[in-house]
Amino acid sequence: MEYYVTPLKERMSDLRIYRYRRWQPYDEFNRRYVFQIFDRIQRTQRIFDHVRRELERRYLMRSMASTDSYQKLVEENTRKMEATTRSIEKLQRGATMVSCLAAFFTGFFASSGSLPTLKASFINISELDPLIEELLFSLMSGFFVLVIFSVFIFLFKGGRKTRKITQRIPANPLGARGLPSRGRGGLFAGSCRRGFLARLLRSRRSWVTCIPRSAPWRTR
Amino acid sequence: MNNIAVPARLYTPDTRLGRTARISALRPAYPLKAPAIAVHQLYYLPPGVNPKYPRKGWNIRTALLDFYSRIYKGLYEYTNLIEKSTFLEKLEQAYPNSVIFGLGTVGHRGRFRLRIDFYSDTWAMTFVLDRFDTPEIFQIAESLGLTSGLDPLDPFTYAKVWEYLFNGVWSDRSSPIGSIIQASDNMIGEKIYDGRTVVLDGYRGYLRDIDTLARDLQGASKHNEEINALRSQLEDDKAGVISDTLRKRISAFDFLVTLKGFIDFSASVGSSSVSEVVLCSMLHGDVLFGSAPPSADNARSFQSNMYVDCTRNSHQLGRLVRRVHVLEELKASALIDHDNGIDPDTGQGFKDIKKAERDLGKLWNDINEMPFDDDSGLANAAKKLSDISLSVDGGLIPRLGIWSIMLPL
Repeated sequence: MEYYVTPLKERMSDLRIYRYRRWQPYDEFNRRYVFQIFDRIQRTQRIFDHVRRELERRYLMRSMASTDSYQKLVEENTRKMEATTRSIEKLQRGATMVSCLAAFFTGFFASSGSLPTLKASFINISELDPLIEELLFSLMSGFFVLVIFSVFIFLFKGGRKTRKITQRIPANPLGARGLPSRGRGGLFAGSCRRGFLARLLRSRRSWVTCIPRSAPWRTR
Repeated sequence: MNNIAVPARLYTPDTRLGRTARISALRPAYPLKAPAIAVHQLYYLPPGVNPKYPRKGWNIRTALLDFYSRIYKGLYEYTNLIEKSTFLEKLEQAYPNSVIFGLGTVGHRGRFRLRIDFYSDTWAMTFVLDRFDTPEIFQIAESLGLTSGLDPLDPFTYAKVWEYLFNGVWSDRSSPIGSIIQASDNMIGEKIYDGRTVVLDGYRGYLRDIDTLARDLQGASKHNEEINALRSQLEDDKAGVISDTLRKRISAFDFLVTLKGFIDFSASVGSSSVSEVVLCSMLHGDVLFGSAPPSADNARSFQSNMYVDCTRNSHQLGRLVRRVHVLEELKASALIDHDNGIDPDTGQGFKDIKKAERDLGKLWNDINEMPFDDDSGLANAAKKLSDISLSVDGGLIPRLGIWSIMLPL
């Protein structure tokens, strides 16, 4: 109805209406009798509009509150995961120390048993005391095993890999760009560059060949 | 309950038809040379008969051609002034704008024209009879069909002419205007506006005699006594010394009285018997306008009579008449839009809206008293709003013209 009433109101003023004494003009006649009917509908429309806006406002507030609580929950979970990861790292560091000691003593005790054979074959340190000789050899063997073990630990990066993945989870779940998505995951999903094996090889290759990861040809 | 179809434009607000309806008032006016008589009629097309209303297997060209043929058939019964092929060809070319036909001459070279305008929900038909040879009202009345002998010296001649020009011509089947009005009863759609216009030039002096007209409109009996006394005085005046002055005064009084009859409506027009008279200056012309105020319970089909006196050129005069017609068209369309869905006998649709308004007020109070974290209350309020919307015939949302609803209603 406004579709007709609005131009009617607007165009009435274009008629350049002048009043004659003691007579009602055309626009006043319309205002008195016709617009009154339209105003009734428009009043209902205004009330409907108020109710609708209030309901929409409340719906929006509720949805904002639920989004806020969800965000807080995600942040709390992320914090818990980070704490867990840190404790795992501590444990892994302790485990690394223990394993290093274990490796050392494994080499130490293993070499002490095989010392007479080695001494007989190619090592000649008879000038020293046999006890010191045995101790030195065992120490060297322990260090040798420890060095080999450390190389393996460096290769597999201890607990750092776990922390790296955990840190990718953002606080805002809506912008979860760091999460491993389905499209990129999978063993052979997507192109070869995006597959799991390709990523694994790429990370290994960068370490092996010492190529910087930000090389332009790598990013095409 | 909800079987009332919403007008087509509500479904197609941004289509070509919608734009056409929106720019309807930009269509150029027709030049009009005083003295002239015009009939302007607006017909509402319910979806069942609207050729522009989309439906199953609908072809707009075929539907419109069929529509034009039916209009022609309705007109041909009363006037055979135009050939069917010309009629169809011009109307088809005119779509979606308006078109004007020359229907030849009437009487003393009176120019007879027909104009047809198409809107999305309505169509309008305007007949204009103008450009008479002479501004003498005797000859105009004769060319329109007043065949009784008119003697300028007869004291009742002016009364007869004015009476015929303002009242008799609309119901005289022998006159082209009267035949057209009778033909309009058989036209397609529901006639929602009937505007009758008489345009004269040179009688502004009578209209400017506001006090006399007001007095005449207030008390006709007193006026009748006075004018009868003047007539008897004229008949007794054998020498004819003061006859010109008297005749002029009688003519003026007759003009005013017939003008009162012209704008005074019978109880059969519209739902209200109270008529309102408007006199003002529009676009530097005098306009005397009479219409029965439409009532809120049943606003369908109203009639307005208009007398225009303008000494400007034909284009300005035509523009003035056209603009008033467009305003009346907009008013009638708005009223029919308001009236759709209202049962004329019981006024049920209007009662539904009033009830919806009360329910909305209650719902507003409920929402304001509701705590902010009440999810179930919020869902109930949305459900109530949906129920209120559906309680009105045709739906409250289309009736109110609201389309941006975010709520899960």
